[in-house]
Amino acid sequence: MPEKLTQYLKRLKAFVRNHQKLSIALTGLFLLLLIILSKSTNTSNNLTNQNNNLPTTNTTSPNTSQTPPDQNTIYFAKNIIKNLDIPPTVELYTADAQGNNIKQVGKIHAQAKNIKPLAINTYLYIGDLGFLDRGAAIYRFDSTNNAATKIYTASSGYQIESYLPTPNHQSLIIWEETQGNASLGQSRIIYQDLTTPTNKKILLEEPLSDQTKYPLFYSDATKKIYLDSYSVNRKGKNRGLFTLSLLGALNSVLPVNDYSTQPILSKDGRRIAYTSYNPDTRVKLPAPPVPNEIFRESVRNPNQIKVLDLTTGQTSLLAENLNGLIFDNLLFLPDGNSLIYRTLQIEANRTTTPLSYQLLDISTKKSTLYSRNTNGLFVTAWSGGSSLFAVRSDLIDNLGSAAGGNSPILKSTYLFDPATQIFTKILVDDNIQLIAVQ
Amino acid sequence: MKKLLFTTAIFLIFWLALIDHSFAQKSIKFGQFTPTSSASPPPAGNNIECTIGLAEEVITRYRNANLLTAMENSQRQFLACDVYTYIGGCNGPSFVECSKGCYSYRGSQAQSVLTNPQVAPQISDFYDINSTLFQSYWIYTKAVGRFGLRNGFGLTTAGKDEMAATLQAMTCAERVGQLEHHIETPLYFYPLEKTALDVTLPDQSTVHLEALPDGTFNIQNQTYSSLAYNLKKTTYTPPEKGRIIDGSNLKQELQKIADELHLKTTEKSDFLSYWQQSLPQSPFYFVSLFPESEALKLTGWHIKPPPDSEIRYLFYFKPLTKKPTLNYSYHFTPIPRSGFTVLDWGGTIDW
Repeated sequence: MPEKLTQYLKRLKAFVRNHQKLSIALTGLFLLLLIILSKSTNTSNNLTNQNNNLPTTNTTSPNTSQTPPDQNTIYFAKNIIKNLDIPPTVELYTADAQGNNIKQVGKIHAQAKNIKPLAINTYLYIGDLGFLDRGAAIYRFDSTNNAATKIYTASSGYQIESYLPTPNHQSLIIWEETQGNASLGQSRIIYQDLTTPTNKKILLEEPLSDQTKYPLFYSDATKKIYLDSYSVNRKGKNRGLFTLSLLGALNSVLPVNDYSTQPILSKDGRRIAYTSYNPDTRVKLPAPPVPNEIFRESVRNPNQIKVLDLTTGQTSLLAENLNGLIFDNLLFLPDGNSLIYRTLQIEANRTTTPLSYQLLDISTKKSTLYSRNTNGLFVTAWSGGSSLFAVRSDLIDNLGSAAGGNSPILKSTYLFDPATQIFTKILVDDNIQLIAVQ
Repeated sequence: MKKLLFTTAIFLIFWLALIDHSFAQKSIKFGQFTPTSSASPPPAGNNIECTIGLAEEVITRYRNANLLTAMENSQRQFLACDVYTYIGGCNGPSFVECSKGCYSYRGSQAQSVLTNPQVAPQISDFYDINSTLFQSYWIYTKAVGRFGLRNGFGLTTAGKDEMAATLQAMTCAERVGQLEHHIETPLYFYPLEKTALDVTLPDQSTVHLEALPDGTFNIQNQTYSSLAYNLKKTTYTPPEKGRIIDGSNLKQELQKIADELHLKTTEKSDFLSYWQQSLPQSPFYFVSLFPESEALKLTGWHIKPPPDSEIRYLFYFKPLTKKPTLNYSYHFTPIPRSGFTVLDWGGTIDW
């Protein structure tokens, strides 16, 4: 045994001999602390299960006690028939925030996508669909008399991929691509004033590339359009996030591989939340053994959740797991102070298993269990003071879309009460599309 | 004094090491934590079972709505129009008219595009890719085709091979969204008198409820008749023996099973409505119960105070297209209820 250690032990023995009462007191205190600490360690081990995100034993209800009753309307469409043997028809419905008082409000007798309600009886949609579901025009639809009026025609040589109304509903931000072409040609983002049709500006025009930009949302807080990007040359989506001002100034927000999936915007337009990838993870899904980058590691393994304050530029890491847990399906609560997200476990056979939905407090960065039930469910929106969950039905439109222009077709829709963990079925079953909750 | 301070310092170091795990973990010299090796990919798996299940469910819905044939035809048509446009068949000043002629209801060009010699072989190629990923249905072929065209795979053989390899390597969640097998199972509580219960579920969450002898229970002043939760594991060993039931007579077949197991009125009603809704349409089903030991592992719930009888009827359903011949008969034997009873009739569909 080293000499120093021997000397130390001798001194310790002497100390204990000379200060017996003190030594006993210190030892007793030490043992007491050990007992207390071992109990709290055991409790957290039972909860964590090697999971850095701690579901607790108590489910948590978001604090909506101070908010007024939800006056939102749920807008949905049914029996969207893309069938060339019979005339196409889209039936439009509304329901109150609780999913009651369902009313059919109109029928669009055309193929339509990107249906958006502007007011209670007024909708916009992209019509005259063609190549890759791009459209030739945007229509305003009056559901009181099922009348559609063309309000925008695609530029000559272009087709419309998607559009966003500005918050005041007086303008549109429109994304067009060269007609009939997927990887050669141009991409444009256009500002169109609806009150003054001649007021049309090309905010951005660029060749189709590995970073073809398209509008995601418009923030009223920053007065900027946020653009995601994708590659037309097999390098996939989420190739960089940008801002575009209404004067056409383009700036980078997040470079490629700094985020995993499309960000979401808080209701007040001040923050975005997104998933990202820490490559130091111990468990990951590898990129497939192919030359393309569509499912690269940073996209397949969203093991972080971050929030970016758009007004200050500050980014916060809210959650991270380096043991094979990944996150998706983010949803801001209406007050913007919390997020719901889903956790999935990467399994040994290269599949993923959904585990739970968690509620994340942005200021404390603490997660609590929100819902145990994940089977087939994804959370879509907020209505009636509760989250709106749905089971996906037909997934065709999602698989083929670069920019998510179509909303998923739903089999069943539920309102969820986290306090009781009860799902209440609302609306109607099968093949409906949730258009908006506003 | 120096010795006292020295001993206190040793004591504090140990204390810090215990309460601050990250400190301990980073302190390799303490020997409490060994950093793991760099991340390694998990071994390759087989996703075929997930895609077949997804395809069957979607196909069943379209078939039930009498839309399957029409949907297949229209998807084939849309893909043909996409390919025709992609190869420049609709370019130039006549693009809009040409496009309308192909994509619109009873468009003039629609049928001729399908048989166009430059288009038809491409449709066959996409169909072949689709059949290795899903069941051979056109409603998926359009999706595969559009995925390929949007992402720049093009129409070359090499491009399509790469696209197929890419999609094949995907997880269920990535390739087809989050449509998982729905394994929800309910719990029923029958105490002899009003009793407060703590029900710990497989995900370690605990539900506090007040159960009544009539089978209802209260949570926060709301009354319920069953508590739904998800099974603990989704991997299992399928039972070897069971019963073949007729899919065209599903309700009566399920009623018979519920009666054999002596399910109570609410349990039977929930059982019938759940499985009639959840089972995919099929001519026949193999149905069985997992053995008690397997059911215990799959369910994983605990109740305090513990019941006198814990009944786990965990069903295994497998849809079948043909009726096999069995050389045995299978009985659903009820488990006796005694005292405070908790019953669980959940199950899984192997599809």
